[in-house]
Amino acid sequence: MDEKELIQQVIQHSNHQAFGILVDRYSKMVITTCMGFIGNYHDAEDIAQDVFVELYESLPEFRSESKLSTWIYRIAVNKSLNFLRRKKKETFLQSIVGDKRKGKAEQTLDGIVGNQYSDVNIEYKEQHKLLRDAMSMLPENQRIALVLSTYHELSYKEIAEVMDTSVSSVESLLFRAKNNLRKIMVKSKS
Amino acid sequence: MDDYFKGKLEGEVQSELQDHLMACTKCQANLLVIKSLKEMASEEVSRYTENPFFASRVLSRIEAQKVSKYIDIKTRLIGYATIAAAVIIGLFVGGQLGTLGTKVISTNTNAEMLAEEYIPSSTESIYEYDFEEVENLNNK
Repeated sequence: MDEKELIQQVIQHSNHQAFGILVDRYSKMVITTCMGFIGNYHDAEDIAQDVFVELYESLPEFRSESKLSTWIYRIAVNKSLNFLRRKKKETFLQSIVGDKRKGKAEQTLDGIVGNQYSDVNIEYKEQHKLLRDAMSMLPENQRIALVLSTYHELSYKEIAEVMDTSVSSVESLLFRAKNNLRKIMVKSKS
Repeated sequence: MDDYFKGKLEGEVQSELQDHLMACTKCQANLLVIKSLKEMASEEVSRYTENPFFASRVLSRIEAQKVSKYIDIKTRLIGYATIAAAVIIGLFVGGQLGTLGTKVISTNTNAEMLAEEYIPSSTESIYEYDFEEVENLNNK
């Protein structure tokens, strides 16, 4: 069954099996996009579930003029950014109130996850952490363009469609994003 | 720079860029950023392992959301119906009580009169005294 037929099946007959096929086709794309923003597999998978739930609800509004992947990328980007905004707010409030809500079990889990990759080259890991921190400091538009270009190697045109902007804006966003990353990383190293 | 990193440049353009890179530390740093980004992305993507239960989890969440929406609508409707019933009962009871009060007042008109206004018929008011008669009595 091709994509259009699957979409019709979901819209007209609420066919869960057809939607399941769509989920299987796009789950990797969505989870890795969310990973690009969040850098944490567990959260990325949770957000990816939200993405597909919203896709199911918004599918009747989807016009076949654009690609389904573009529509899904948009939802994934919005959900990831919303998650980061919420997390930022929570972290800020916890820094004022103190992290009293964190239970013992959660702290233990953090320890396990933290030690999971201890055998990986520490320098390599630090470099990634530095890069991820630098990415989180970028303005949202630059971050979106960077993630879509780096994680999925989308063309400027495809990124422009997802971001609903022009190709030249994407070029400029990516140029500024890389320059800013360099500046932030040089500053944090020194 | 991206094209150079991807190996898309050839010939003169490639060697010109390489010469520039040898001399420009800023472009060297930019190239390093691009390299680190690509490494990080490919490492994270390769770490991804497909979850065989992912689709079924999504579908069960959709199902659960449908049920909770249905329950939500049902609860709301019951709530609205209860409020409407309470208002109707309130109006009815209020109306009944109002009618009862009017009846009590209409059968006992004296209850509407203030105490200070009430003068029993056997008592004379001081304004009704015949002062001449009193004076005559005094003279006698």
